[in-house]
Amino acid sequence: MANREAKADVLQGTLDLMILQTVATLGPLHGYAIAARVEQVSGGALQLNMGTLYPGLMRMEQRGFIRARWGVTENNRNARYYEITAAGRRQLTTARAEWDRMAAIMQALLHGQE
Amino acid sequence: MSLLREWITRLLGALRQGRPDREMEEELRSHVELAAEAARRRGVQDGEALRASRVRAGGTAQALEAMRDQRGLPWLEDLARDFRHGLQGLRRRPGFMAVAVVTLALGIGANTAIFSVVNAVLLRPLPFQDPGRLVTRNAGLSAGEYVVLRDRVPALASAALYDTGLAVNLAAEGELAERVSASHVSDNFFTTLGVEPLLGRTFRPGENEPGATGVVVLSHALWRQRHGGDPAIVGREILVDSEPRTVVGVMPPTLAFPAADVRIWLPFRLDRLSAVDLWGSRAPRGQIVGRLSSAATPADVRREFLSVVPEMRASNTIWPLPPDYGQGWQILPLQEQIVGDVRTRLLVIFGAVGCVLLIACANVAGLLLADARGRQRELAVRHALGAGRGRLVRQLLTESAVLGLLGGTAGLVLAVWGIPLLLGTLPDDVPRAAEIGIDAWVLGFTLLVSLLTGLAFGAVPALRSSRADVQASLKSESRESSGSPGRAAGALVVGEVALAVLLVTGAGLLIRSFAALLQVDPGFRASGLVTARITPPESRFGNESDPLLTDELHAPRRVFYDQVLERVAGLPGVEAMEAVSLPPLVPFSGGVGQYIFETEDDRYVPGGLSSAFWDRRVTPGYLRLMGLTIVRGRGLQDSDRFQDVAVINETMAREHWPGDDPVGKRFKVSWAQDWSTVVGVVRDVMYDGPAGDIGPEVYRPFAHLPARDMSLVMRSSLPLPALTASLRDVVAQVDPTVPVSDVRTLDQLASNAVAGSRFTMLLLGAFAAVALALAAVGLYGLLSYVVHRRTREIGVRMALGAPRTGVLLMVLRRALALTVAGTFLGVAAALGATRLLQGLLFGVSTTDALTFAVVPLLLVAVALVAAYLPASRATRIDPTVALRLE
Repeated sequence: MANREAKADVLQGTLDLMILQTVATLGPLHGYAIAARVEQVSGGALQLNMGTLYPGLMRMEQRGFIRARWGVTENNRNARYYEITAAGRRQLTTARAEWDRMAAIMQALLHGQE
Repeated sequence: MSLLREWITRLLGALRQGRPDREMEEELRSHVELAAEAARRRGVQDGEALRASRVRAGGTAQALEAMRDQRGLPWLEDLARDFRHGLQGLRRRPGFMAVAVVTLALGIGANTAIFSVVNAVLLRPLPFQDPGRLVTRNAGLSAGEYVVLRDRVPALASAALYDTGLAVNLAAEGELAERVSASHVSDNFFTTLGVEPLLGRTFRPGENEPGATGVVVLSHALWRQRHGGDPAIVGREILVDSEPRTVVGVMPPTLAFPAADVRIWLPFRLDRLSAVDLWGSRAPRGQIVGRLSSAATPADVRREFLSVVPEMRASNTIWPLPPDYGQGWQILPLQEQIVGDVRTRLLVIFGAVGCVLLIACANVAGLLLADARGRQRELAVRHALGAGRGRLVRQLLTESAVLGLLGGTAGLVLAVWGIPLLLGTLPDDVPRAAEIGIDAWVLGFTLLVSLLTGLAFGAVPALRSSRADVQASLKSESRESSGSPGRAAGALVVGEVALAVLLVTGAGLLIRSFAALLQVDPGFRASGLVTARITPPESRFGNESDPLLTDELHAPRRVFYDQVLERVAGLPGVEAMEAVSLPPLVPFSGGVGQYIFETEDDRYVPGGLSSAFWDRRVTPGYLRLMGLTIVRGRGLQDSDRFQDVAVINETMAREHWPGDDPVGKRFKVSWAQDWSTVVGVVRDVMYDGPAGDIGPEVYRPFAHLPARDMSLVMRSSLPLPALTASLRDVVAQVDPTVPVSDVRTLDQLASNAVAGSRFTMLLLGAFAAVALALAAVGLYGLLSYVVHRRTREIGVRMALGAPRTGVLLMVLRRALALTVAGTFLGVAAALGATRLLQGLLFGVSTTDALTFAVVPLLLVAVALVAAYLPASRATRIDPTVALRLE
């Protein structure tokens, strides 16, 4: 249990950002589509399992960044679709800026000029 | 904002308001199917696609569990579950629950009740604006000193003067003449405290200057009782000591300062331009209350005051300041001064009741330890089913918290029932007693104590049980894996005994001290005597400190009292009656008091050492009625009525005519003209109660020097209410404006004088008794458990021929070992802790040998009684039955 929490801590911010970005650019998506998109973009390196993805979606729904409704896929399957909210867009802007800043710092730290 | 939103949603989730499980399962199922569909599109075989997608997506069960955790607040849900589980578990063991809850209820209830007193008296801020900035001096001061503090000390933003112990007459045509507690206050008294009137206004600047018109402010209680809460009272005139005064305001009920029973505030007459009025020997005196300037401390006030002293010394011609003047000055927070000696008493009692709670905790912990053995199997099963150790500890602690809360609830009920009893024994000198009750702070305290108690007695058993060897427990229920539960329980009993020794020792010292107080010879016979106070108004009967007191004022007093005494003596049911200006055990509230005097051999020099006596004006038979013993010369006689003669007490004789016969010597009040001749010496009388000081006392004939305020001392068979009514009747016939107040028996007054000691002794005694009982129960419980556990072993021993007495001794030895260890610890602790009682003890040292010798013996005796039942049960063990037991 402790182990699971620790992993979630490391991943949480990143995961939230990935989900928000995906939902923001591709419009309403169901959970599987979000996972598939992340996997595709990462060239198969990142596989989100359900135990990570769905609590994450639920968390962002609880925070009001995304909202969900049940819909039907093109193959007539029921699925829950997630859509970004105005608060979610604001959060995405802040989080993206924060990520860029952090990435730049890490870049400079790890590979910067001597 | 968004985080808050998340937590609210999750809290709702925990209360089953979130997404239902079914809906979450459906979403996960849809995920797996969508994944399989995608795999099929990539050309993977049907069955294989579903399997592969499941593997890649991770297990549905774990995902659902993770979602449930995110939906609600898992720890809260666990807590609720453990709570319910704990309650169920307790309900299955009603005997255990009853004993534990009763024990805890005693401990927590007593603590709640005592805390309600501590809270109201010591902790709750005074009901004034920013009360932390209010300060006072450790003693009274003169009007002159007050004016210096007010005008010359910038560290005080404002300073007010007030006096205490004053009482005034209220009377008007067709109304009951009544004596009420009052206080003279300077015009800025109410603004310094920062209290607003309920009606009208408070005093205006200048209203205490000479020549200002008479104004008064009424208390809420007086306004309700005497004026029926009439809002039109403001602006109306009332008679205070027969003088017309205009009511300018009514204060709210929260203002009970300077005394709880103060009914009326009058302006302090203060002429700041008259040196005699400020510094003369009869200048008004009072207490100060000051409000500190924004950054000032009490030390600043003292420093600034002392810096003005040289100037005061140079300019003050009336009262030469002594060389060490001002060195004894202390500036204290007002709250500290108000609480005074009561603080130590309350803290000692609070500490004692805390010990009782600790013993109760130890007892319940012992119960839990014994009980945990029976639950070993249940815990082992839960552990085997995957509950982690932390989870088990949490479950056990939640259970003990449940127990604590149940005990706390029962304790609160006990406290609600007990607080009125407690208030009944509360001495009169406890300030702010009217505020005692159960408020949010007391409830919070009880809740906190209940939870902490639960943790305290639950911690050891919980940690032990959760560590227990699972394998061993599952294999065998009855075999003990080790002797250590007995050891832990033994340590608890040692602790209980030590605490009990501490409490019983403290109680023993207080009981001895109280006995010593009761043995003090008061110097008079109180039994069967009743006193009543009669206070004619100043306007017609004069002021005692009036230097122009002449026959002009003496005559009306003589006439009035002649008639009153004659009529009272004629009342049916009054067997004997005399009068005194101030009887024993009655606090001074105006009238003839204490005066600086000089003898012919030792004249008074202003600024030099002075000696003061209490001037008691008496009817000639007073000494006889009170049973005062004459040790030299004679008492007062009828023929002395108009003579300037006096009987003095032994202390005055010893201090002023050491080694000489005082009879025939002469003395006088320093500012009076006439000399009095000593005709006799009487034994000292403890006028302030058994622990009070004794100073010089003088008895002079009332007829010659009539006092305005007198107390009757009567031997009467009438019940007090009937006597009070008759007295009021008789006095009203003579003068309807004169009230009769404070009708009390001297026995009652004597009992009040030791009420503080009795209160502390009774409470500590009660707590010590409870502690002793709890410790005995704890020891009994432990030994029963040990005997039960060792039934088999004892059986074997007896089968091998051990005598029954050997078995008996074995159990008793265990009991004695624990008791002696606990007693040693307790005596050591008591030697240190009883020092705190120092100020509360009278005639007994804090290391009183008798107490310290008897208490350990008492403990051992109690322990042997507690051990006897389990020990005798052990001797009745039947070896054949014991051996078959498994």
